[in-house]
Amino acid sequence: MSTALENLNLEEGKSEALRAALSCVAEASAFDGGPRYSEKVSRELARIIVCRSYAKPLLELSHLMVCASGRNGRFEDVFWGISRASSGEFRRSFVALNGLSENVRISANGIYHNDGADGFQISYARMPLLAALLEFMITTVGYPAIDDMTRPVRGQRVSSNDVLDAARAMQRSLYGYLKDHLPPVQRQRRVRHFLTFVGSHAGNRSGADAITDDIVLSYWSEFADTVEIEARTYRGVYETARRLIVTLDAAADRLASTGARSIGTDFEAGEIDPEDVEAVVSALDAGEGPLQRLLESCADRVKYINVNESEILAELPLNDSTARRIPISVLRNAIYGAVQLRLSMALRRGDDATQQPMPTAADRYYRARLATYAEVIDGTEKLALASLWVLHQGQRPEAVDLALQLAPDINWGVLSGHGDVAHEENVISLAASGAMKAFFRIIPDARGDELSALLADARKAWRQVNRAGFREESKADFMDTMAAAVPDVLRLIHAVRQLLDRDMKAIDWPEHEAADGIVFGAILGRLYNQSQEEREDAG
Amino acid sequence: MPADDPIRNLALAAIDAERQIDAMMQPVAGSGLLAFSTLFRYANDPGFELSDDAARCLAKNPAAMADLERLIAQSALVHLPTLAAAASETLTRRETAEAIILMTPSRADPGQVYLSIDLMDAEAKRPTHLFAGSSGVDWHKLVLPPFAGPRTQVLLEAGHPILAALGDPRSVVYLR
Amino acid sequence: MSAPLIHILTTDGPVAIQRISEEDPAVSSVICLDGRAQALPISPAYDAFVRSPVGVIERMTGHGAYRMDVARRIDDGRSWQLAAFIAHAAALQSAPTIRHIYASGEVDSTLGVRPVGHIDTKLKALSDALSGQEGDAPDAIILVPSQDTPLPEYINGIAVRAVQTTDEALVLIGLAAPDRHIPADKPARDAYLKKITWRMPLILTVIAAIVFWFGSDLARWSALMAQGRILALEKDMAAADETAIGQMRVAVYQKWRSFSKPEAGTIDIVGSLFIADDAAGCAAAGSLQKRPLGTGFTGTEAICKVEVRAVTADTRLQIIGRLGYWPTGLGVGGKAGRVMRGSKEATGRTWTLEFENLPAQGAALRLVVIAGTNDVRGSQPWYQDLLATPEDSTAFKAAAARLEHLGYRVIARDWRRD
Repeated sequence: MSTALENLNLEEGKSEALRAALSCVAEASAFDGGPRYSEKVSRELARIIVCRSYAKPLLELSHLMVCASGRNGRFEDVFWGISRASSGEFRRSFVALNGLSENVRISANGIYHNDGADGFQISYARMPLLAALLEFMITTVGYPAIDDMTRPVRGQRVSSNDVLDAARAMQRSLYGYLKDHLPPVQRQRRVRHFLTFVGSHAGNRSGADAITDDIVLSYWSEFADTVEIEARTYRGVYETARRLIVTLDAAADRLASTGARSIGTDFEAGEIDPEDVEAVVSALDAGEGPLQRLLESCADRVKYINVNESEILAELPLNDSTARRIPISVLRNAIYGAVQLRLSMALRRGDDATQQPMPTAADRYYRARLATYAEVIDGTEKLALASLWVLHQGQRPEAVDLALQLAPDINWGVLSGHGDVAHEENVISLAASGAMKAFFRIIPDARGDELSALLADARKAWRQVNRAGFREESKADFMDTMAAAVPDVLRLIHAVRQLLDRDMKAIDWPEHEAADGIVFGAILGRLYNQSQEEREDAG
Repeated sequence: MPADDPIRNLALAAIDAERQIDAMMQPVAGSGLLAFSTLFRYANDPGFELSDDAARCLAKNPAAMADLERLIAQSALVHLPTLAAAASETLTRRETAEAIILMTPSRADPGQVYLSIDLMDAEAKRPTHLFAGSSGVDWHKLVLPPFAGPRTQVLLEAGHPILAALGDPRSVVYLR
Repeated sequence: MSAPLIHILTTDGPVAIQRISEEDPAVSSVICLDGRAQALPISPAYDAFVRSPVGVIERMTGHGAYRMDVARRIDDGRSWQLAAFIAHAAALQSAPTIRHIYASGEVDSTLGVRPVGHIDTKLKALSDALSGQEGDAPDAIILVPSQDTPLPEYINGIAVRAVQTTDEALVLIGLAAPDRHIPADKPARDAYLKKITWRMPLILTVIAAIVFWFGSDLARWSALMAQGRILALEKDMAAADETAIGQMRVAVYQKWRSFSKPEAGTIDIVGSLFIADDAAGCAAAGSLQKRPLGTGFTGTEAICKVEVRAVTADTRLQIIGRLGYWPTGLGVGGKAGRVMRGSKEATGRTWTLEFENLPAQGAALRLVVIAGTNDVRGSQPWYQDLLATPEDSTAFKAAAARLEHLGYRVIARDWRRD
């Protein structure tokens, strides 16, 4: 027994070392004390490590180290001579090195290493992750070891095989480290339990298709108050269902695109390709969703969306097929998930849970919630319109993007004098024809033609806005942030509109409001009256 | 959905992995590790000093110390190796073909010592800082004032640890 | 006398030089902050200023490494050099006559003092720093490079003196000029130096002996003279005169000063009387008649005003003097009715006296003009005899002699209403 305990402690110690190494990289500081690596990069790094999908990244890293060391054989200056590991900083570093090595070509999007074979392309966007991986390698394997492993390929012309050798050396060392420090994965019992239930109720449906609104509600109803499995909260069950929908869809896509088939169920035994696992895990990453991306790109400076609005929109699964597959569950989670949370908190506070208000059909609560989502995204769209005015005044090309998205039916051909220009021919054709200059010369006029009227609307919207970032248009950095966030805000508007119009519209919400009131009332009553009684008995 | 369904298995493997990623992403306080970014900056940026916590961490972490030593040695402009003098002897002069380091007590204030560095090659790139120490033990950094011609000089309190390190024949010196 | 307090003038106020110490010649000279082990970034420039062949300090002192401690940071420029030079020179000699020295200027390799920037700002900063400390002005001096723009004569009562060389600066503060070394860029003199190289130790020894024996007195007296502190100079010489060696030094100095005494005839004195028919006519300035002053007046008109000018073509000369009015005759009553200082002008001085009590018969005027190469400041007790006694009297001659010994020429003119 004591041996087993010692082994457990030993295992924990080993995994603790790995966790510390990942944490060390995640907490590495930029020159100003801020994070050197973004949260997204740190998570991607952890994904590569946990999924053991490091082979390809290490090969990329080896090529990158070759390119970075082209000037003097030292790669460190490119990786750590910059404050933040961002694509922009890497772009600047390599542009500064341009021409110093005949085997490295610098382009607008990345670098190309001429390795004598097919060549190797690495985008600037990929470099922050590779830098984090290198820092992780150094943290775990040691700088002297990495220095020695990569020395043969630095500061000289090398072949693709030479680079591959260096990459393999790093792979071996990382494999050795992870063998000792990466603990076995914990099989998620709740997920498997849910999936078994789904399987037994799916009929002839398979994959994510088998997960339906009825099954989610049935599962919760059946297991919410059992000891067999932890399924007490509807929100927990909904999240399990959602994660399964995302992963099953991603797995199906992945296997369909690669044509590969796992040979078994044991990932650690190598029966499932690590790169497949990593690809599917990445689909689960909330950071990839349009709301998260907008918040990351501008939330602190330009308030296209405020905290309250982002909390409301966070209820919507915008980056996957959940809303298409289980639309009613999305709103059940939003309404009853919140109700159950209030009940739990009331119980925890010692309040009488039975006194907590429950939604009634008269509240038209699902429809009211849908109206709230529409209202929030209407507001966001209005802010986008306001930013069109700001960006137009600043003569930023992003203003054209924004205008095309906000008013796709406008005849843009009038700008170029070439008649009707299909709106698919967007920024590039406008710029090429000199129409962009004409666009910036347009004077807003509510009674004028389409573009003048659009700008008049934009100006009007801007005048009504009183949010951070919309009154600092004279400051170049705010303008930069606003412009950079244009694609993200457009993506968010599109995603929410699509969810509301496509996934939610055709549902008979009044019927569900009436029915769910009864079902949820019964289950929650069962759960919390029982808890209330137990509490009173104990008291 | 059969248990051997590859889509099912891949999805479950991903969910298990995601949970492990979450666990691995939990911050670890007081891990004793020092980010290589920090070490690199300490080795290369003359004006950057380690925080007290980081210095303690470095002193307790042989791997980080080895990383630092390699970093220091990697791009040093001048390397002054250990000397074959008796360990008890305190050096006041160290010399290679590239540089001479002199430690001269101040006549005006006996509690202070002049540390001067003369480069032999007047065209050589000028170092901006100096590291002195013994492998695996302790390293001391000193920011050098700008060179006037081939020479720079700094006035130090006699008890300054860099003087002790420079005076120890077992120590190694790097000018960077 | 204690060591002088030498300050570098900066735009942030004066910075005291706290000490200068020799260091091991193996090290470079440093400027440190307030005794701490903190060499200022300007230290390499100080080392270059010290170390021969470029630096001037080693040439003066024979030692090539120093540590200079200053009270506050000095960051850049070369204006600290004059103060640093003076501090080094002062460290070699007995204490100068001036205790508080404020200096700004660049010192070149020929020991010339070159102009530096922001003198106005530095003087203003000094004035601010000294505000409320006035009262020790005679014991202080401000030395700045000669410049085209006018300088104030005083800052908080402290004389501002423009200098062109370090010698001038040292003389002004009562220090001997150091042994002047020949700049390396003078080939002819180089050749001469080579010729006498073998004699150099002997020459240096003799010079050192002379400087040791005579230099400090000479320097001190020269400084007093340069400052116009004639009475102090006279007292100092009188004190030295009590010993045989002192007498010799005084004699040598007086002989040297005699070379500076203006030649007779270099001063022109012209005067005018402004008269009216009667006393009431004096009020109408436009109707006054102008007559040459001469030596006397025998008319009946009322004498309303007298104006006398003493001028010279020699621009090196300073002209001072007094015009005394004796209503009842020269020296009568022991005290002149009016004594006029005159107003300084470009070529001399003008005395104007508008009579309140119009001169009656027997009234006399005595003009005493003192001319020399230096201005005279402070108390001048000799005027009492020079203004009241006949020119051939012993008292007058004695008073005049005091000044003549110091290189001044004394000229008297008398006028009388008969």
